[in-house]
Amino acid sequence: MTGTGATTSPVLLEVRAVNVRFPRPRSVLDVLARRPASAMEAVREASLRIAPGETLGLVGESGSGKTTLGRAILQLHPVAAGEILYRGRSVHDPMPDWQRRLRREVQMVFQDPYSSLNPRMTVAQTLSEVLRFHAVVPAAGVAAEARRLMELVGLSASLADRLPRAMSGGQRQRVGLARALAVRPALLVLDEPVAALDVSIQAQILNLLDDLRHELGLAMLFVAHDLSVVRHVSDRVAVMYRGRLVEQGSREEIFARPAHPYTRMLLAAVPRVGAGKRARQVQPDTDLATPPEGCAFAPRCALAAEACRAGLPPERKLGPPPGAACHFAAS
Amino acid sequence: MSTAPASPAPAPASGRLRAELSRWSPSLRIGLGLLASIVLAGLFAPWLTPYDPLRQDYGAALLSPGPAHWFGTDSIGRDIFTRALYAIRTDLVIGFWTTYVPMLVGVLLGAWAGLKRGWFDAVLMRVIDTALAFPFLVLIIVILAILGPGTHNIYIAVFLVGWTMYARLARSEMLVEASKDYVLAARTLGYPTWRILLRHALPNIINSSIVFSMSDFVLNILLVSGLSFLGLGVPAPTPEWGAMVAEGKDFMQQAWWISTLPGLMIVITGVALALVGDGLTYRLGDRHVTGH
Amino acid sequence: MSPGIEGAPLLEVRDLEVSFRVRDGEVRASRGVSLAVHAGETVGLVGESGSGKSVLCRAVLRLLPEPAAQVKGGRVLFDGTDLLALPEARMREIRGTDIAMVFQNPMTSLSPVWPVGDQITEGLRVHRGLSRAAAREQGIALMRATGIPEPGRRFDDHPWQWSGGMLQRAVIAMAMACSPRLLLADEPTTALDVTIQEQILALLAQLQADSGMAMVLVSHDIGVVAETCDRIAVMYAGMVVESGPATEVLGNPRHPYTLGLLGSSPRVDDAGHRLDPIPGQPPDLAQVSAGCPFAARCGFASEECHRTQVRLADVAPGHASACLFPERIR
Repeated sequence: MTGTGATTSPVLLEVRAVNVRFPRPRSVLDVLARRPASAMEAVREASLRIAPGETLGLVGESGSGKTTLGRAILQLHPVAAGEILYRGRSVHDPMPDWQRRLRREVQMVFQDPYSSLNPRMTVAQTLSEVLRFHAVVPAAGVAAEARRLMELVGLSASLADRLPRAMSGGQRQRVGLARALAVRPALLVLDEPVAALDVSIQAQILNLLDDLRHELGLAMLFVAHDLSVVRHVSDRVAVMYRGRLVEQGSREEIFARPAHPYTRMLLAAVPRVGAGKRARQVQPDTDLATPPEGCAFAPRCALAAEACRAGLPPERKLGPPPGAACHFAAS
Repeated sequence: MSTAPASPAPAPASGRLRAELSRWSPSLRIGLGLLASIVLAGLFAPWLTPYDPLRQDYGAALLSPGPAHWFGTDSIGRDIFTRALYAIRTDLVIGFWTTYVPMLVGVLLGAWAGLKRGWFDAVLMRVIDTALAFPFLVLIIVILAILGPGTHNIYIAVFLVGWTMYARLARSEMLVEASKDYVLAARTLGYPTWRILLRHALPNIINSSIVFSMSDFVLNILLVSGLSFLGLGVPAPTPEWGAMVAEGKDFMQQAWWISTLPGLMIVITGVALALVGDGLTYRLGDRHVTGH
Repeated sequence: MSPGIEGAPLLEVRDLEVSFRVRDGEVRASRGVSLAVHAGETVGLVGESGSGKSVLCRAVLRLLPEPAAQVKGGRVLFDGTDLLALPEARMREIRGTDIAMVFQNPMTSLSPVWPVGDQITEGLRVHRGLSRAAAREQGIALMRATGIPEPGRRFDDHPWQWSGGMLQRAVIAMAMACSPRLLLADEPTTALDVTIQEQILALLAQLQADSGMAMVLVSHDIGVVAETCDRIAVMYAGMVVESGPATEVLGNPRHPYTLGLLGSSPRVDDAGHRLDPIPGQPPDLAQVSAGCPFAARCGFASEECHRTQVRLADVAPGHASACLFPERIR
């Protein structure tokens, strides 16, 4: 992201040209033949910023790299190139005090309510463990704090001694949220937190997140594939396609005036209520083989030209900070 | 995409115990009952029989089963029933040590390897592959040949070879478990690896090892019995089922009871453990299926 | 249910009752479900988990797991014949030929062992007795019709080589092989990216237009249903709570649950306002409630709602609701 340097608000999280790679396993033959290790580039030169209290929606389809990027911020994946800075300091700085601080200030909520909780620990045990380990409150106050957290996320106190298997998906997600909030983070990374929930429960959780944002002044990185959800929660939006950030902007800019052809395609594809039956154009399947040189979206893009296939488009600025990575970004 | 309705709150303790027992299949109940009987018989052996398992009485040699000697006597006049009862202590203790020590070490090593990956995992896997490439019994015999016979050396030999199976089992289960979100959550919360291993992951993967240990227990008893048969096992005159079978092999024609009845004890114990293992598979696996 | 303008329905489900036996009792997955689908029409079934929409599709094709699932009552009339009364052999003839089904997860809908082309044409060989060569030719044509590029070459590919979107096209090709008159699509795009979903829905619409086939589209996504269906049925706790023309039901909902679904759904074209979620949890289908199953969560409910059995009744021509007090809504 080549934003203008001066921003009035301090930046909480900054991701600079980050690459995340997953090495492909090599067979013995490959090693003997000295073939270089190839890798799958999950995230390529991604840059973004989040200000305190701000919600950035990171949107993309499968293979976009959005989940990988979210996890890399939490150091769940190693970064092959680039930097991730929290309050100006690299998250990979190994000083134990810094790492401990990071664990308290940056937390994550996971997608799958069925595997995100330890099946053998009750709600109370899960929360107490966090509170005790991080000494969030003195030992005597742990039980009370656990109760407070449950109340904060809308869980009835009677659920304290329940195991995950005796709870619904929505309830489990609330527990996951409580666990992440127990350390009182400044930044919360949410990886598709409502994708596995029914619409009515999803709405409850989204409203809860909204309340918490305002009550706690949380910054959030909301990773999702569902544009309607992202629109609902985000202040700013970043769009990813096949490992790259293709567009960033305020919610208003992205949804009202999308600049990148992929963003426009994505928006057009979202089903809407109210317009009745929609006539659609039938297209043949787009075979997504290895991304070519140049713009990864070129094979599917109506505006694609030689320049697109030849070289990576620079991120063109459309006014302040972000922009769209396209030769033909509309203004 | 389902939101399973929440079950009702947990019931009081006595009700829970009864509910738990009602979940036990017939296999589990029969197996545990049988096992308990065997253990008690071994514990109370001195009260269950008047004879001394070691006392020889040439005058009463090779007596067939009858009111005085329920299982008959062997070639030097020792009462088979008494020896079979006292052998319970020997065999169950041997079974325990040869199963649960390798299990403890193997599971910890394997689980750690599965969680951390990297060079430790690679080295461990090669060691396991090497150990498991040889026939189990051959390795044991070789080790015993080096160390010499004796009960403690048996423990060492079985331990050196036996941990590998548990390590491999625990490792593959851990590979699956480590990718689950709650383990990732534990990492993001900054918990150290040993804590994640012991407190979080291990309790969730231990079930298959427990079930496996049931059959391992039986196999180890059979192993020691086999070693005794070969003369490498428990030294005489300690009563041990396999040794008793070996002692009786020369008398199969005239005194079948010397080998057969101890052999029967092995079978019954094996069946009991197998039933428990079977029942445990369902009971432990049950949780994940029904959510109860 | 009021008769359709188009004449006698192709598929008519009347008061279907399906129960599942579970460890501690019985779960009523379908309680008196009624639905009608006319030739060429697209009917949407929308609801959350536990609403009974998938169970309904499987019940029509008699694909429910026996003995756990039991059809306790009702009729499923296809062209006048009660499918529930047919012998299994006759039912097998209907499956794949007159009525076909497409499932949610394309990754598991195809066997990983056999080539895709063989799976697409299996129906042709079983039901129509075609030879391998003739089936291959038709299979390639089907693949082309469903937008699979290079069908001749790809006929022998294995499923693991293909993406989710392409696999779903193959599944659709498989369903279309014997030219069914009715297609049951159970969440066909839920597991797909939204841009791929667009393609698949377009494909289904075209195939329908070309063949005059009727379609039942099951989805939890009210937007998908809004954009593809002529009529929709909203399901909750195993019953249809509202049905009618899509634009009317969504524009002028006459059941609190439909209103709740609309209020809970975030919109891509309208932001800023807070979502209006339905309070509480989805119902436990093992507990049989007297009265309206939605009463516990309903903002308009009164004492009567908890006591009286509810049934679908017309609130306008062609538009029915199971609410006792539809006039209270809005």
